Amino acid sequence: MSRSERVYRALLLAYPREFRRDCGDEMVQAFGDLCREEKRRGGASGLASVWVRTLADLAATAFVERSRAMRDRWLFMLVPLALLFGLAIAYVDSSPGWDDTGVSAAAVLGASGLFGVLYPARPWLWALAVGVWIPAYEIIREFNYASLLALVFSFAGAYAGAVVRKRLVPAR
Amino acid sequence: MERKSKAGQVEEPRDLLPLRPAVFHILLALADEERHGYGIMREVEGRTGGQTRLGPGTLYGSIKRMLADGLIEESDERPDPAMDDQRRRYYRITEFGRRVAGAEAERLSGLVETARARKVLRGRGSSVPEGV
Repeated sequence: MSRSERVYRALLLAYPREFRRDCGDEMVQAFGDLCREEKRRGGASGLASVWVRTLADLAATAFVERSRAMRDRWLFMLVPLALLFGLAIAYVDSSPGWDDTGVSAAAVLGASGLFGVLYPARPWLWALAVGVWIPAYEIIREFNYASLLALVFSFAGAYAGAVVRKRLVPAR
Repeated sequence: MERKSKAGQVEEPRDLLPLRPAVFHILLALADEERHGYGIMREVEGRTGGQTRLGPGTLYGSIKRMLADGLIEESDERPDPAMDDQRRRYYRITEFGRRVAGAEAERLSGLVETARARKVLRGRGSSVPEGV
């Protein structure tokens, strides 16, 4: 392995681990081939030109791959949070002294909407994570199928949040 | 053959349009034969007269997503095992990838026709409007 390849392999640390695992060896191999070819054609200046292009490519694509990996981790963190929100709302809603259904509905709508804004790619996931608890509790305890209406609010909130986010930050 | 997305919906070629330029170039590079990563880089550079040079990050980032989208697949065959490094992975275009490439070509062709109709582009192969 040439010195250029060794340096490039070290620079691959800029990419997320999973990306390096899937593509790292091939990237180093392709880079090595490129270096040999350009050096044969243009000598040291050919090699320098490969390095300049490759560093620019590395900076841009490492940022993209890191952002994608971050987005996946973001989803991983948000799911338990959404479940907790839904559970907390259901807990308050089922308290003996609580009879303000309007506030519960608004909380389900607002919480689902918030998660829809934070991660607009899967609104159905937020709708279920937040909205499923009230009907689950009510149906199991009191056979209250009308509580399924909570899902209407959660779906409306999550999809509205996703639409708002997509309007504010259009996809590429 | 129909292709389904992760959500189980049937995916149409137009769902993936417009393609990023790197993805379209890779599909074109694989349209006539299987190639490994470096082979794709050289083909794209040669075909575009050096105007487009895919870096390793762009190439393999695109390949990873194209594999996930079912546009290309890894090939087990080696054109000539004696002549080649066995560690290299070869890629080939899938039937779905070919349809997506065709749809993208039609989309771009439509754009070129519009440019020609509006006199932004005159004649074939010229990017310079007349009188400039």
